[in-house]
Amino acid sequence: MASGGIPTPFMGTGVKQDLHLLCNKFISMGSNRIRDFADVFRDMHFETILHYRLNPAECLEFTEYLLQHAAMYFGKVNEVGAFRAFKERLFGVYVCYALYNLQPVDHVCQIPVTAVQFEELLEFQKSLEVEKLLEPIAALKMLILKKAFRIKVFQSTYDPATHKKYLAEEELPYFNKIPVEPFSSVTKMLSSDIMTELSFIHGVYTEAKQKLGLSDTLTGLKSPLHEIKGIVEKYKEQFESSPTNPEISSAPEETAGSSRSTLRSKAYAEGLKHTRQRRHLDPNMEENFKHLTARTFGDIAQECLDDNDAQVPIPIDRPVRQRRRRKTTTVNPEELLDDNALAEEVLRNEYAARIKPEIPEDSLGGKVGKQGTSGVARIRAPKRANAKLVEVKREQIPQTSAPITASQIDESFTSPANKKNRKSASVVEVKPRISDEWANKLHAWHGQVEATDKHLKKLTSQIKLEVIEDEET
Amino acid sequence: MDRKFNSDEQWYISPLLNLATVKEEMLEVRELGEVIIDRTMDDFDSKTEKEHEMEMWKNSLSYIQGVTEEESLEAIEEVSNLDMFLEGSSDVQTRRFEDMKGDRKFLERSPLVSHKHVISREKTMKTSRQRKSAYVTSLKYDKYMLNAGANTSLFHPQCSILEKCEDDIVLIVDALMPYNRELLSSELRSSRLLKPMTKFLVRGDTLLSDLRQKFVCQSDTIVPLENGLELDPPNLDNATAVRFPSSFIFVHDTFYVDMPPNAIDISHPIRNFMLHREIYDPVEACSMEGVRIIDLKLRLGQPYIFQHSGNCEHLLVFHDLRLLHESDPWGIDKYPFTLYEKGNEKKCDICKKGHVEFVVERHELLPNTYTHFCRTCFQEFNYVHGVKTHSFIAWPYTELQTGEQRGWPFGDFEQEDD
Repeated sequence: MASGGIPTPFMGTGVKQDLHLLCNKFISMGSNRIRDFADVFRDMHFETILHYRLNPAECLEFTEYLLQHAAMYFGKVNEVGAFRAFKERLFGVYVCYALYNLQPVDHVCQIPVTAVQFEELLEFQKSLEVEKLLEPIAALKMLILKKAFRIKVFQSTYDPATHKKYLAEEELPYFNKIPVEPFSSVTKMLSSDIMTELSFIHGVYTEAKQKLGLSDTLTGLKSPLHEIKGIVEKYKEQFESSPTNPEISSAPEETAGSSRSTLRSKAYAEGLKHTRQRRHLDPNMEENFKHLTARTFGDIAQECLDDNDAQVPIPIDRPVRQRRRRKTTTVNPEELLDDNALAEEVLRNEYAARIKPEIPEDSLGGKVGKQGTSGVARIRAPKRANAKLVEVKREQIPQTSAPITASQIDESFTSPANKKNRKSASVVEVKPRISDEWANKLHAWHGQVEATDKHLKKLTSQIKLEVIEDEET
Repeated sequence: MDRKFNSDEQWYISPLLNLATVKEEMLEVRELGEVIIDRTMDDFDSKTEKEHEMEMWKNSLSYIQGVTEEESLEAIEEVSNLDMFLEGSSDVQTRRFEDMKGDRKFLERSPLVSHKHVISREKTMKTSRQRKSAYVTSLKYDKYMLNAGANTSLFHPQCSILEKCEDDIVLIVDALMPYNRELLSSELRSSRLLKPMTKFLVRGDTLLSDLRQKFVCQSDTIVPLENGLELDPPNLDNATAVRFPSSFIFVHDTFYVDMPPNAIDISHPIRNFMLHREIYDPVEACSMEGVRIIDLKLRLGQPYIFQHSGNCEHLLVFHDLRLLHESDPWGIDKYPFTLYEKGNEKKCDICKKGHVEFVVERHELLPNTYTHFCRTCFQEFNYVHGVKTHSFIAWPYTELQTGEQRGWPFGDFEQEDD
């Protein structure tokens, strides 16, 4: 029964291979006796093939499948049409006898055989009588006496509901396959009805053209079928005249098994080659998370010094060019040595190229993250932008030492000029150093200044209104 | 229909078979096998079956020309020793399925390829219960009733060397779930289609009418209930099986029409439709009475049609054609033999405990269109002191496996026939 959309493994996988292996081992022996077959059977622990079943339903189905494939050795020809050897058919009798009698007594399955197989088995029994091999005859007669055979019409059950999708396909090693003749499919296609019809239509079309007096345009026209045949003959001649005939002849034999299952088995058999991913070049991801690693103040200072050196435009270009030249020189010998190594080198270069633009951001991020530390403050000293801030602080120091009188404060706030505003801004920076008493006064005066500015804005707006009214009048 | 299906090109469809001819050919082959052995016996009562078996075995070998009695005895002695196939000491005659679970330690180092796949299969099934369930349900005999009721004897070694069954063929007939409405998009998945409703084992001598009588479908049990009187026993005279007694089985190119009382030939419009279209081959129609399975010409694996109760259509698939064996059920009266029957037991949607007896349609208080009720919940939810309080339509729900026991129309139908 088809499962609910889930791929399910086939319960009979491996049966053909086990039977084939057992058959080969028995054939390699030089004896036809059942005791020698039993020795091989026992050495392979073949009785355990009926074990490890989940439930009686699986046991029955597996046994039926096993016996059906064991009974296929009765036939004169195998699955691909080649004649079976005498000992192969003898193996079929022995293995069916053994497996049928080793079934559990509470779930017995008869041997499913087709009418043709059973008939061939009876003919084989006659040949056994001629050679006076009594043991296989006795085994066969016992099976018939026990009514062990269940005669069917076809090997297939023709039950569409039990069609299954298997996870794995069975491939027998060293199994006989019909060799494919070169150009057989093309020859078959050329002799098909479609090509014959095409040739006939072309003939009728050509005759019609000639009757209409258009034969001049058809002097060089040929039938497509003739062209195809010419091409095929050309390639046949090349194929026959080529000096590497044995090598080419092996190719059709390989293509004999070029079914979907064969391709799948080949794909699974070969070892997959995985290319290394970019993230595997740096397993610890150190380059992407440099700012997370612990660094000393000395390292940070050293980086700042390096950055200052890097600001010079000329030194930046030179090391980049030198690096590129070095890489190009090393690529050539690696190509000759190993392709995988070359691929890894290319991936490494590509990854490194992608990482480079992120380095300044990391460094900036690192600085921003550690802005409050004393080490960063020390590092800021050499930069020019920071120098301005330091200078401002130096100018403010002597003012704080001198006492400030009320008149000086009033003078500073009475003048609304831009320049004086700047001075007041600079004085504002000194707020934390003023005493509480003066800080309160300063705050009150600052409020008064704001109130005065607002009053001024109102007056200016009134002036504009008066001007507009005068113009209207 | 063969031309419509392109049957000759399908992998799951067999060539056209004349079952009578196939039966004769298989019987001839079986007789050839019986010729080489001697089943005659003397002193039936004084010997056990094992002794009879050994005697027949010796007699069968003694018929070979040029073979002495001593040689035959030696060969029998060699072959009859089944312990040579086993590594340890074990009684082959008494081993049961539970005794053959196998050694887990040996499984890992087994040289057999099958055992390697057993390990991988077990790993696959351990990942989830769903995978294990999918694997178990995909088995062929999972649908067979191996350990239930009267069918327990199936596939047991009940045959004897002294018995001889009748000369007949055996097929399995699958009646699939009906397609009596337009399928939803979720139902068109391949895993949802081709689900068998019943599986029958039929013999060649089984009448087609007997097969038709064995088909039990829920569509036959649809009975409309009177508004406000849903709690009263339903009127079985209004069942669809009684109102629409016509049915037919279409196999290959013939409509086998069932003609019980009050029935008409419902295949006539279909045949008329097919007659006016060149894509269909000519078809015939005849009565189902007196037609046996052996008289059919069919293809294994091809879906055929069984239509009944108006528009309820079941696909019929014949497969597993073989000769009757001594291990099959004996007696023509046991056929069609039920191998599998899909049950439709459901629990109440309200209490999750009681068996469903009513299907409520378009209830004004319920969000879903169809709701299944047991009798207790149906009465308490919809009636106050026996008075219907809400607007809904109710239908009786029948569990198929107990339908015959409750006296549903099948029994009445048979009585009417009598």
